[in-house]
Amino acid sequence: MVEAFFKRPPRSLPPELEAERQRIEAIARAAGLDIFDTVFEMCDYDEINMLAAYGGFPTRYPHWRWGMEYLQMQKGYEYGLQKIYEMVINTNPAYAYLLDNNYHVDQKLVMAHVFGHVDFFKNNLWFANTNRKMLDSMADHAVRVRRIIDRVGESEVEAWLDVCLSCDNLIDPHLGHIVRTRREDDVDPPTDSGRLPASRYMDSYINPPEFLAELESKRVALEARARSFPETPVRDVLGFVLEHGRMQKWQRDILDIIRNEAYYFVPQMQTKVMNEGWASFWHTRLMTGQLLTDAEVIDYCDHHSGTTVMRPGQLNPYKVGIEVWRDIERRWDRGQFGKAWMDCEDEGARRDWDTKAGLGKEKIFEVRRTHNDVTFIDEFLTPELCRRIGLFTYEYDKRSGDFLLESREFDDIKQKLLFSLSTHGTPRISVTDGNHANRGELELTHDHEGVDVQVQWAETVLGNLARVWGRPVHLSTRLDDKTARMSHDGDKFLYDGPKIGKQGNA
Amino acid sequence: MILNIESDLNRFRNIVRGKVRKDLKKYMANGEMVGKQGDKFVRIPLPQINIPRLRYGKNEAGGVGQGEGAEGEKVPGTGHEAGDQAGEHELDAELTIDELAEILGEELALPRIEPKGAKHLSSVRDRYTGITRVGPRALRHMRRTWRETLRRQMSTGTYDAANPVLVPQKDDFRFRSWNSKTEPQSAAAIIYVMDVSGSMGKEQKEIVRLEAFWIDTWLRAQYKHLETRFVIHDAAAREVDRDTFFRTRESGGTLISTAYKTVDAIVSADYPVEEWNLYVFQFSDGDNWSSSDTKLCMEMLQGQLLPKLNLFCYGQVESEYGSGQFINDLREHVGADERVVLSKIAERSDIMQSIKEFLGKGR
Amino acid sequence: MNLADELDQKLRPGVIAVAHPEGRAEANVVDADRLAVSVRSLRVTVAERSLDEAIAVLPEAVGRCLGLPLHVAEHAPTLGGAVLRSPVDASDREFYELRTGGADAELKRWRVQPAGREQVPFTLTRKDLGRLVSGLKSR
Repeated sequence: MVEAFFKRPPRSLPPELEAERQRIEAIARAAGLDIFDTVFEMCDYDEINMLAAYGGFPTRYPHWRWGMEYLQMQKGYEYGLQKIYEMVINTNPAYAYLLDNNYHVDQKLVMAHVFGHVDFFKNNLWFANTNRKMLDSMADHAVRVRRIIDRVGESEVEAWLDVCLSCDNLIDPHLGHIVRTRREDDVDPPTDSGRLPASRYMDSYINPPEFLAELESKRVALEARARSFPETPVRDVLGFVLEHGRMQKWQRDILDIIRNEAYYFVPQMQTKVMNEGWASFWHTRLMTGQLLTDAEVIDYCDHHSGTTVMRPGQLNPYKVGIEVWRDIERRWDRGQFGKAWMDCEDEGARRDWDTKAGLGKEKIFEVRRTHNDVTFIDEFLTPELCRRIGLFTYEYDKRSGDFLLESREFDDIKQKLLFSLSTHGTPRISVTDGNHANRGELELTHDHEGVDVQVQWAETVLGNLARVWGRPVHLSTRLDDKTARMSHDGDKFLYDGPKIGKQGNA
Repeated sequence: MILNIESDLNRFRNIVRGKVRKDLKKYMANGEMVGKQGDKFVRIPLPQINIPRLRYGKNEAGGVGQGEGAEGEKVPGTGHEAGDQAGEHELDAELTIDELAEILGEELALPRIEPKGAKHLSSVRDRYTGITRVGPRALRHMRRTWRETLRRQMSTGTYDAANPVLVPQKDDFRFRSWNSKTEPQSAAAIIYVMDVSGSMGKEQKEIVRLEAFWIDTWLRAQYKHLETRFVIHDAAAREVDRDTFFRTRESGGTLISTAYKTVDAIVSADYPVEEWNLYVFQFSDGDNWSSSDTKLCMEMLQGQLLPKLNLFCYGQVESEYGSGQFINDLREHVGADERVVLSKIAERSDIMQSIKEFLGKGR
Repeated sequence: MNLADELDQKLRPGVIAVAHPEGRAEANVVDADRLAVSVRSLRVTVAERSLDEAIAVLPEAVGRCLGLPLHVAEHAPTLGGAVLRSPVDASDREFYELRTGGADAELKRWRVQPAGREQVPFTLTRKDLGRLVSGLKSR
């Protein structure tokens, strides 16, 4: 079905590379990697940039954001940031796109890297409920959107997509899968009192007073429950709005698509460090174990240094990830874990500790199954690692307008890293009242974790939410340590809080 | 594999163009845009073209980095150019010079220029196909460099196949170099003339800088090959480079005839009339030192300069002290000549109109 | 009697010129009465003063008389002259301009107009005019 999406037949691997692929796949499986069947396609530079812009799926709904991402890719290349050597998506069978103008050794390395990713997608528990047929689903979404465009018009749909996309990070990252927005046992409060049918004279017999009283109190209780709406704060704002908001059917369809796609990508966001580290770990392991020709060594260094070199000041997930994985394997091979190890304070003893436990391989395969970035870093980042990689925290200094190095202390680094890995820049926002002021207004609350939201975007997004919800929307938060409240009715933005200066822009 | 990005890309570019078009007058008066001009592209700060989302203020969160540095030091690689987390930083949209010129042309209803003749030019640097041993960092050829490094390390025995690490030394580096090609193309030369006497203040010079940028943008789109020369003058004139042109400030008096002499010398030496399309853009506050010098200026214009030029444009900038006399004298003596365009630029918001007057003739 | 007094005695509408050992004074007088005088221009020439000396001393000397600071707007030694100006008055958009070749110094007043500048007369008390004459001949 994928072939139908391409305007000319996709290019499969040339025979020499196909032979290599089989060889590498065999080596990978022998080393313990457990992978889906993987289809490799060759792409030129433009094609792979386009794919990257599309998030890896060749067919998406039409929107200017893809054009924008594509330009950003090109600019990233200009600035010397990571070049894209490959693109692999979480599907079964897996699809991997290779850049066609690497020399063959690059492709070998890239294929090994791809297998690492596929093993991760297949085995990491956080991906267990993802839609492995997403290729078809994305295409289906695109078709649905185009049909709506034909009915409703290009600019209306674009405007609505703009609105939906601006809210697409307001989801619950801990939802294991997309739940139905209504629970199975959800009932509407009964519209009639639940009386059993009876003709008049039998009434008091068939519906004795105690029974009626019981019905009455049940009804009151149900109504009371329905009044506190939602019962507990709902982090999946998009889901809530999708279910209860006032919008036309075509709008609901599109919002549903956007939400569905947002959830699909959540596990990838939550495991980026682990996943990239895992793939890098394996491509290094598989490639340096083999005999490379001299020419191939040159290209290996060229490529490898490109992806694991860290730009000063920036955090490279490949590098941090691979270092942690190597450390886990080394420690578990040498028995550097457990109570005795934790309690040992002698640096020399710690350094020389080696019980020849040989559990490294088993441990890393177990960790790649069970952990995500937050638990990975929480459990396995050590002070020694931080020192070895040269990690530090930095803060923004209002006075100078610069980012200044703050600390190399392990606790500070770990805390900051965990914070960014658990939030990815998105504030925790929940629906706390779906019937605010009894006028059906939407009340959102920001669970402030020490970082303020950016107000200039807040105005736009709240306005968009008001359009999606159909009635006024409010957000309670804290700015500069004081309570603040923002509201939008679709027309006007109201702000009640401390005076805000220039914020969020360097 | 041909993907659908064309239409999404075009849609995005249209949005960018629409923004610029809508705010063109504002952009023309905005010095920031001019500062980031590249060879083919103009970078436009347009933070609003992005998908707005509820996020943390970029600065508030801080982050974790890697590398050298002591506490309290500035983190290298942070700031505008470092943001590589997609969507985390403002987007600078880019327009090609041609796109910008197109917007300019449409919004100001500028007619395309019909250039005269085709000139033969030599030494156009075209393709980086050669390899040399010296060069700038930006032209480093990594693959060749690695090859040289490996060769050296193997011959000196410092290469370990089990741990394949290559460490290039100075002599190992290789760089790309260019090959020359000649190509026939239509050519034009612009000569900018600016009065830098005491009465031309900072704001006046900024206006000149902005006008020069827009003129450049338009003419570059009309001519494949464009040369630019700069002449400054107070009581004496001299040719300078672009930076000096915009930076210099003298306190002297104004003798415009000296500038005309210098322009004539440049034209006679370098730009044979039959081969070149010539443009002069002169900016002044209009206070020439004496009326006898003004008379001399008029004679030079009519006798020597105008016959050689496609276009002579004079923009008189104003200060708080008002406007000088020179534009009136020009109007009287050469105003009727169709090669001449006169324009008053009282303040930044007049730039757009002035450009329209200058370039609206299609010469 | 000094140059200023000599001039004061001759003040009446028209172009007045007065010679004196101290120097020469010329005024284009619009009107004069017992207290005040309105002139279009006032020019004082001394026997010897270089351009450099003039621009060193005139801004303060004349500025004090006018109650306004004068700055050197243009200094053109090759052209043999300099132009000094006062700030522009916000309400009537007028300013003083003093031109000097060294030995001579001429004061006029101008109004900023859309089409250009218009020369306008300025009015002083006779006493102030006298001070101005002294200021213009400072060395």
